[in-house]
Amino acid sequence: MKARRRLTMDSPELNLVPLLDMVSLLIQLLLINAQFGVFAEVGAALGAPSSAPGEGLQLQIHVNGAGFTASWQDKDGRMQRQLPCAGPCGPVESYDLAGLAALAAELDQQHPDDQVVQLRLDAEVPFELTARVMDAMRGPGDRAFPDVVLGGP
Amino acid sequence: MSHRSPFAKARAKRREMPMVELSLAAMVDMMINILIFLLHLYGRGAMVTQPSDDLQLAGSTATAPLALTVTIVVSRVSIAVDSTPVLDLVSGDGPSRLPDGVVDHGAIAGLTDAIARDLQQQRAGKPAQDTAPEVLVQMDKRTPWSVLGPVLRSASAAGVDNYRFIVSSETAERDAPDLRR
Repeated sequence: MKARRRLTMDSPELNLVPLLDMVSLLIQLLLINAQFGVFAEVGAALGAPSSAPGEGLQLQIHVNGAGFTASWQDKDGRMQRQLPCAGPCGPVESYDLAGLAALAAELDQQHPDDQVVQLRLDAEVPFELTARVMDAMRGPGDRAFPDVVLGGP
Repeated sequence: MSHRSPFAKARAKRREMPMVELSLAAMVDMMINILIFLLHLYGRGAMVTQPSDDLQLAGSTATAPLALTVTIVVSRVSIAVDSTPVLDLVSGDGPSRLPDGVVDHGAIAGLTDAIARDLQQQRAGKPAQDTAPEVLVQMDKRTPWSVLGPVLRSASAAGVDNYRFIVSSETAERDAPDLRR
């Protein structure tokens, strides 16, 4: 008798409708507010420009309205290379960032232990260009010059 | 002769048909997967302030994840420390600039005080750490060095010499599937 009563009882069913409603609403809310940008961070330090002789490469990149001027210490003395803009310097793309990245790779090959670069920025240099110069100097895999020191001209 | 309703046959046929139950399991699985994906996406680049027209982040190939600390936000119109406005910038059609007379010995006095206060608040009640304090700088990409320099020197005057700039990671974006299309 007992067993028969158990058999006739309805099996309880989970009502999924409220759960589905809630999940759908959450998904809609997240999709509406989604900004599919991914953010990262890049480190730097602040330093005063220095022209005093020291040890190592002492790589400096001067960024101004005419392009880049790179200077570094070599066994023959202080070396300098100009990397002017292709046309008039304006947007970030007009600067020779590929040339700067090539120079960073070249210097990194010659001086693999040196990792510091000092950026000397003119007053009007926008942060977007500063970030691009830092990218070019870090190189692929952050192997070239990842320790960036920022300073004025 | 029996009097039958014209719909009786159809009603009887409907009664005979088995009740079709919608299987919701697959749909729930899919929705939960989407929810997990979205929550993961949100958790990856958590930011207190969302970029706006006045705060467009610079693009970069950097991929280091964000860590929360004292945050200085420099938009085209103002400078804020941890969401508290400190100084309004002069912004027109060109790049923004600092108002006249706010820079003293290369630093902005009000900003130095605000950063020092914030650092003190963050250190309060926590054990002394060996690591040097750092600030996270969220900066509009059009901001010139004439603004960035005094901001960094102000942080330096408050005892912070290491800065981390928040950038829009192009490498991670390039590797991620483009959901906007």
